[in-house]
Amino acid sequence: MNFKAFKQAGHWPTLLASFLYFDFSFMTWVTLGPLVVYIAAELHIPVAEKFTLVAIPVLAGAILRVPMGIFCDQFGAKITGSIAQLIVIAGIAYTWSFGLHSSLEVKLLGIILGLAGASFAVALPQAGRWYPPEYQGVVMGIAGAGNVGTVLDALFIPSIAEHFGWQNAIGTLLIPLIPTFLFYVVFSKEAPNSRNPVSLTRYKAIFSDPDSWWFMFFYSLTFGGFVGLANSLPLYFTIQYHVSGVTAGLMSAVVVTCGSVFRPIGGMVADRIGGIRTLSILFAIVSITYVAASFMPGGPAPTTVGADKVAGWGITELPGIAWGSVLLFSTGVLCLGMGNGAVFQLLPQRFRKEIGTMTGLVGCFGGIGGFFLAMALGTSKSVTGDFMTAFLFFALLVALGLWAVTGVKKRWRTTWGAVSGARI
Amino acid sequence: MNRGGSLEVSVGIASETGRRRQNEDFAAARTTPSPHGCVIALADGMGGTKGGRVAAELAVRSFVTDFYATPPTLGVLRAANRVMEAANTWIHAQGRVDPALDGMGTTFTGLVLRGRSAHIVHVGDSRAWRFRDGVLTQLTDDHTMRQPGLEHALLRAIGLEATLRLDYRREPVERHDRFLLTSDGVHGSLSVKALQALLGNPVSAEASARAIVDEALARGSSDNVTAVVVDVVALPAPDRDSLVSLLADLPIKSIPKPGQTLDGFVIGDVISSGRYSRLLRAKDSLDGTEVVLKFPRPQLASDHVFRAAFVREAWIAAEVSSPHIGRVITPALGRQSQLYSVLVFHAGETLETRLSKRGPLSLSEVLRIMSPLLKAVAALHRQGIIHRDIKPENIMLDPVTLIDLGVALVKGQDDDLGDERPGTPSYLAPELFGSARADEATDIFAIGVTLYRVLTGHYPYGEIEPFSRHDFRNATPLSVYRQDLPDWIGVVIQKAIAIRPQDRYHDVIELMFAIENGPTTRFPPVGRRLPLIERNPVRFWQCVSLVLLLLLGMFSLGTGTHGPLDGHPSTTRLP
Repeated sequence: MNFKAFKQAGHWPTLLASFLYFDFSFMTWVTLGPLVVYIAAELHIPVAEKFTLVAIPVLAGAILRVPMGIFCDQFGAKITGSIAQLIVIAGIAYTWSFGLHSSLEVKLLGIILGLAGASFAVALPQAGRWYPPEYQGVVMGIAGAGNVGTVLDALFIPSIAEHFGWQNAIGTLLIPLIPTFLFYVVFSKEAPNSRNPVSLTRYKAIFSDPDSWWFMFFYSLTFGGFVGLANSLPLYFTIQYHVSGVTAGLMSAVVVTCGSVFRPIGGMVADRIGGIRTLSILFAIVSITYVAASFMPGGPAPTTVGADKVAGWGITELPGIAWGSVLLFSTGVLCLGMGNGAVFQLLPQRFRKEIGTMTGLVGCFGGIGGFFLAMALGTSKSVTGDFMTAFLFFALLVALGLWAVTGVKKRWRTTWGAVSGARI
Repeated sequence: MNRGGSLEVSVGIASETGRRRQNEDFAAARTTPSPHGCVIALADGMGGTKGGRVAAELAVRSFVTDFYATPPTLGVLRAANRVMEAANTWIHAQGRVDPALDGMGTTFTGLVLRGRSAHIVHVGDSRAWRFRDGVLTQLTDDHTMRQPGLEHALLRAIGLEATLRLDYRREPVERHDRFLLTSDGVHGSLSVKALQALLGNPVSAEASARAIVDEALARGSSDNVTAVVVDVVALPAPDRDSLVSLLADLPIKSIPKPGQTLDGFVIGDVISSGRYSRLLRAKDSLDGTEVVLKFPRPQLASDHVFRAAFVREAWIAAEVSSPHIGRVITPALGRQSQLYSVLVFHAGETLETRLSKRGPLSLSEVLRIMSPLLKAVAALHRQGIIHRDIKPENIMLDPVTLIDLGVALVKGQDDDLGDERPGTPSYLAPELFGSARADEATDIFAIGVTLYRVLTGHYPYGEIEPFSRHDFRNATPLSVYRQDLPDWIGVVIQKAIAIRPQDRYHDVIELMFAIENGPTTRFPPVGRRLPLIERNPVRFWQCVSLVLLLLLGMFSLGTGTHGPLDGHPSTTRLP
C-alpha cells in the first residue's frame, strides 16, 4: 500500500487523534474488570454484586453508543467526542481525589466509564469521513485497534492497585487521557462532507431482515463473550482459584491477548474459507470450551495468607488446575476474538449500503451480550454457589448460534444479484 | 418519466453528380419505427471505372437493410461491424478479381438513432456533423493523409483492406438536433460557417439538404456532392424502449395472497419466496392458461436499480426466442395495475429437486438433458446475452427449460451492476472473483460445474460461500466419486471447468459437439495420479523391503536383550 498516497488521501492528524481517543477510551472502559477485585475487597461487596459492577460499564457502553452516534451526526463528531472525554476525565478525577464509598458510587463510575466505551461511535466515523472508500478498511482497522487496551489494563492496573491503592490506579488513567484530550481538541478536525443522519425508515428496513438480527446475535456472542470475560475473569480467577489480584490480572492478560491478537486472523480466515464456515467451527469450539469451563473444579486455597490487599497464589505458585483454566479460557477467547474478525469481515459485504447503521447496532448488541455474561456469572455464583449454570447457559446460547449459522448458510445458498444489498 | 413517446425523425437527402462524369456517391435512410431505431448512411465511392458507385451503393444498402436483421440486443457497434465486415469482404475481393471494378472502395458514414442516443460508425473522409443551438460540431475524423496535396488519399476505407476497422462514437441526442452527413464534395468547398448558416435556416430537412448541395456546386465543387440532413423531431421516454418504460411506470404494491384475484389472474399457491421476489402460481381467468407471477418484495419500492433489473428480465425474455428458455408473457397494455412479471408455468421439477430426491443422475439421463440446455444457452449467447446463473435450480425438467434470467447480462448494453457479484457463488468462474465481467466463458464454467454436480452430488472445487475469495486449486477428478463413468465425460468436464478461461471451450457449440461425440473421440489419457506400485514398482518393493528389514531389526534387538527363552524351563541350569 502506498503510504504517501494514503497520508495525502485524508487528514492524518484526525486519524491519529481518533485512534488515540478510542484506544485509551477502550482501556478506560474495561478498567473496572481488574479493579473491582480491589474495590470490592475494600468495600466488602458480595459476590453477585461484584459481577454486576463489572457488567454495568459494558451495558452502559452498549446503550450510550446510540445517543453518541446521534449526537455525532447532529452536532458533529469533534464536539461530541470532546464533551464525552471531559465527562470521563472529570469522573475519573473525582474518583481519584475523593474515592468511592458505596456500591452505588461504583455503579455511577461504571456508567461514566461506559461513556468512554461508547467512543467507538464517534472516533471511527470521524476518522472514516476523511478518507475515500478505497481506504475505509485500513482506516477502520487503524482507528478501531483499541482492543489491546484490555491487555494493558489487565497487566498494569492490579500491580498499581496493589502497591499504591486502587484510587491511584484509576488515577493513572489520567496520564494518557488528558494529553489525548488536548491533542484531540487541537488537532482533530471535522470532516467537510455533510453528515446524513439515519432515518427511521432505514432502521425499519434493517429490522425487517432476519439476517440483521442474526448478525447482532452472533456479535453478542463473540464480542459479548470477549468483553464479558475480559471484565469478569479477574474476579473469576480470584474466586475460583484463590489467586492474588495481581496474578488474576496477569492470567486475564494472557487470555485477552489471545482474543485481541487473533481478531484480524479471524477476518483473514473468513476471507478465505467463508465467514459462515469460520463461525460454525468457532462456535462449536467455544461451546465445548464453555461446557468444559462449567465443569472445571475450583482450585485449592493457599495455606498462608499473604500481606497483599487481595491475597492469594502468586504467579509462580499457581496450582496446575489454574494453568489449565488459563489454557481453556485462552482457547475459548481466541476463538471468540476470531469470531469478532469473521463477523466484521461479513458485515460490510452483506450490508453494504447500511454498513454505518449496522456497525452501530451490532456493536451495541455486542456490549449487551457482554453485560449478560457478566451478570449471569454473578447470579450463578450467588444463587447456586458455583459458575456452572452460567457457563452451561452460555454454552447453550453459542450452540443456538451454531444452529443459526447453518440456517444462514442455507438461506445464502441463493442467487446474489446485481440488485443487491440495497435493501439487505 | 413520461409514458410512451417514440423516436421521430425527418430526413432529407440531396445528391448531385456535379462536374464529374457519374455520381459515385450514394445515400439512403430508413426511418420506419423499429426497436433498432432509424438508420441513415452515406458513402462516397472511388476507384475503377464503375467500381466506386457499386461499392458505395452496396455498402449503404447493406447497412440500411441488414442492420435491421441483427438482434437488437447485440448493440449498435457489434451489429454494424457484423454487417459492414461482410460488405467489406465482398467489395475487397471483387475489387481484386473483376477488372472493371479494379481497386474499388468507398468511404462510409452511418448514423443510427436509437432511443435517446446517436451512434456514428465511420470510415473514410465523408463526415457526420451535429447542429445544435446554432453550432455545428464535426463528429467524425477524416481518415486521410495529412500532408498538403495528399488530402484525398484515403488511409482507411471499405474495400481497401481485407479487415475493416470502423470508428464508433456515441452521442446523446436532444430534441431539435440536426444531423448532417456530407461527402467531401460538400465539405471540401463549403466552410463550417457556410454550413452553419445553411442549417440554421428554419426550413425542412429536404430543403436544407438541397440548399447545401446547390451552394456547394455554386462555390465551384468539382466532385460529386451529397448531403443528408436529419431532423430529430421527437424523442422517446428515457428508457430502453416503450415496452420497458411501460413496465417501469407500474407501482410496486403489496403481494396478493393465494385465493385473491389480481388483474384477471386468480392467485394460487406460493412457489418460492426469495430475497428479492416471490413466485406465485396463478390462472389467467381470460384464457385459462396456468402461469407463474413474479412479484418484487415491497421493500424494494424506492430503489430504481431493483426495478430496472426486474424490467430487464422481462425485456430479455421477450427478445430471446428458444423453446428451451422460460418464456415471459406480456399482458395486454393497461391490464397490469402493479409491477409483476407473468411467466409460463412449468409443471415439472427442477434439476436440483431431482438431484436431492433421487441422487446423482446416470450418464444417459444427463446427456438427454444437456442437448436442449446447451441449445438454449447457445441461443442466448448468439444474441449477446449471458445468463450468469446457470445451475440445477434454474433448469426445469420435462421438457428441459432454462429459467430465471434475473441476473442476465446484455453485452451490448450497460450493466447496472450493483455492488455484489451477481450469480451463485459456487458456480462462479475464478476470474469473476476478481474484476472481470461475465461472458460466454463464465457461462461455460457454470455449465461444467452443473454437469459435475448432477453426476456426483458434489462441487468440483468445493462449495464456495458468498463473500469469500476462493482459492481455486485442482478440481477433484470425476472418477473419485463416479468410477462407473467413462473417461471422456471427465475430460470434457475438466476442460469446461478449467481455471483459465482460455483453456475452456470457446463456445457452447464446441461443448455440445464434444459431448455428442464424446464416446467416439479419442482423448489423451487423463492425468490420474497413479499409486506408487504402478508408477515405480521397483521403488515400491524397495520400500516394503526396508520396512520389513526395520521390523526384523527391532524384533531381533528386542529378543537379544531379553531373550525369548528367558524363563523357559530348559534354560535353567542343571544343578
